[in-house]
Amino acid sequence: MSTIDTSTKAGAPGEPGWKRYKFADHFRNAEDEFDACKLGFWLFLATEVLLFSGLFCAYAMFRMKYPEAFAAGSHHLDVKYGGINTLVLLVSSFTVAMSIRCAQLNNQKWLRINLIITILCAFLFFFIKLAFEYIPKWSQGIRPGILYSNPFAGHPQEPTWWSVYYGATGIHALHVLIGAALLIWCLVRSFRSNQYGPTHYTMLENAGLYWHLVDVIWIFLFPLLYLIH
Amino acid sequence: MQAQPAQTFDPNDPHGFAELGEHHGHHITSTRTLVVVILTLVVLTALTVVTSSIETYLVKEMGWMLPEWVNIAVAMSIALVKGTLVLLIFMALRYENPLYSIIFLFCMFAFALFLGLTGMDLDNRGLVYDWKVDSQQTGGTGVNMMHPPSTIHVLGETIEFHDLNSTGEKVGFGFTGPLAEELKKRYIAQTGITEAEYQRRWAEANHIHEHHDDLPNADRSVTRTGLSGALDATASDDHGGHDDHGADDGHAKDAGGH
Repeated sequence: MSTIDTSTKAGAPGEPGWKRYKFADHFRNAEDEFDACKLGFWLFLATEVLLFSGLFCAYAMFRMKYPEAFAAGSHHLDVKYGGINTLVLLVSSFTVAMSIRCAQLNNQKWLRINLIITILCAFLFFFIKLAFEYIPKWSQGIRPGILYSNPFAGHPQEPTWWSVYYGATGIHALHVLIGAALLIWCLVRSFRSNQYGPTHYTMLENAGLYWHLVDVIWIFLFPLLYLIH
Repeated sequence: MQAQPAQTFDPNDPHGFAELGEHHGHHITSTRTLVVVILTLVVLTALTVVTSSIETYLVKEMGWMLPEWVNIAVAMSIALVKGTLVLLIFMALRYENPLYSIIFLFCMFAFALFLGLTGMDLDNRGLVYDWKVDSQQTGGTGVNMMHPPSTIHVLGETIEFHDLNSTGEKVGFGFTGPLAEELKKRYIAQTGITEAEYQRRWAEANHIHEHHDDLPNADRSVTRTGLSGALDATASDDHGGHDDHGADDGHAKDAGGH
């Protein structure tokens, strides 16, 4: 289904947004602008990886120091929900890659459908995390750092484990929300003016890259947090 | 004379740069590739969970003594494969300018430096070179890293450390140890339960159930730790009427020593 879409949505007279897009003056051509934007975004992704590497470093050091506390704490986590969250994020990575492919082939309908599925997966991930993990734990008194108030700590250093857990998954969940916000913005622009098409889909590509990075981070977080024995 | 024909002027490309530069089209990943990759990722996720439960089974039921690092090594190698697949194909690193891959690899190198150097530092915190022993002193704010202050302020109250090292001075290991102990004391004070009842609730809260199946039987042997009675026997025990005594001790030790 790759019919040329020349729809004239409200507020977008004439040709679709991607056809009307004019690259910035200081670039030689649209291709250069795309490459430059992508390079900048990859540099930003590198800084995001370094942000999470700080969290992974904290995990590694504290696990080295208190392995029994980490094992005891990890037993309180349900592998089921971690696994479901992993699958949800993997599927959402697939759909966002498909939506970029649809943009390249000017398939506006499926571009939007794939984006909507991705955003729904993002909210499903956040909902599972909140409803089945954060809220039950928080109400039991299992909280990060100084807020810890559970009298049944399985090990004296278990609060350290919970700080690492909340820190890593909390910052990751924040990134899920940020990624979802970027994708929602892409969806809004697509609905308003068919902004993404074969010759212009930079924002969608970058939002997709961000989303894949969020997925990769979770791929590493899941075994480290849920599968300690 | 004929004037030169007017150059065709493309407002999108006024300087005529379109002819310059590489004209590689954007790579469009095929649906088939994406579907194969996502299915592989799902299978690898299942594999990660399965291998960790296999490992638990081996340690618990079969009594294999797997070292700690096996768990991490297996899980991380599968995660590495999954991450690489996402990076190469979903994020299209494979099909694009190698510059992006170089950026990402450099990022990984920085991560390795971060973890490696921090680990080396932490591992050697207690190390004091012989030639420095005499001049060792507390630095910075005068708080010794090995012996943090003995009182901390937690939950609006001041808590004293109760741990003593071999020379009798108070030492601590971060605030989480005393915090956990303090919470236990408060809970017992507030609910008025006995220590035994607390232990019962603690076991329930941490999903710890007693299992009395850790003795060896005909189907499987269970690793024992500690000394067997025979190793305790010295040459002097064999002399003069101590044989029975030594044998009895050995049996008693074996039966009680798990």
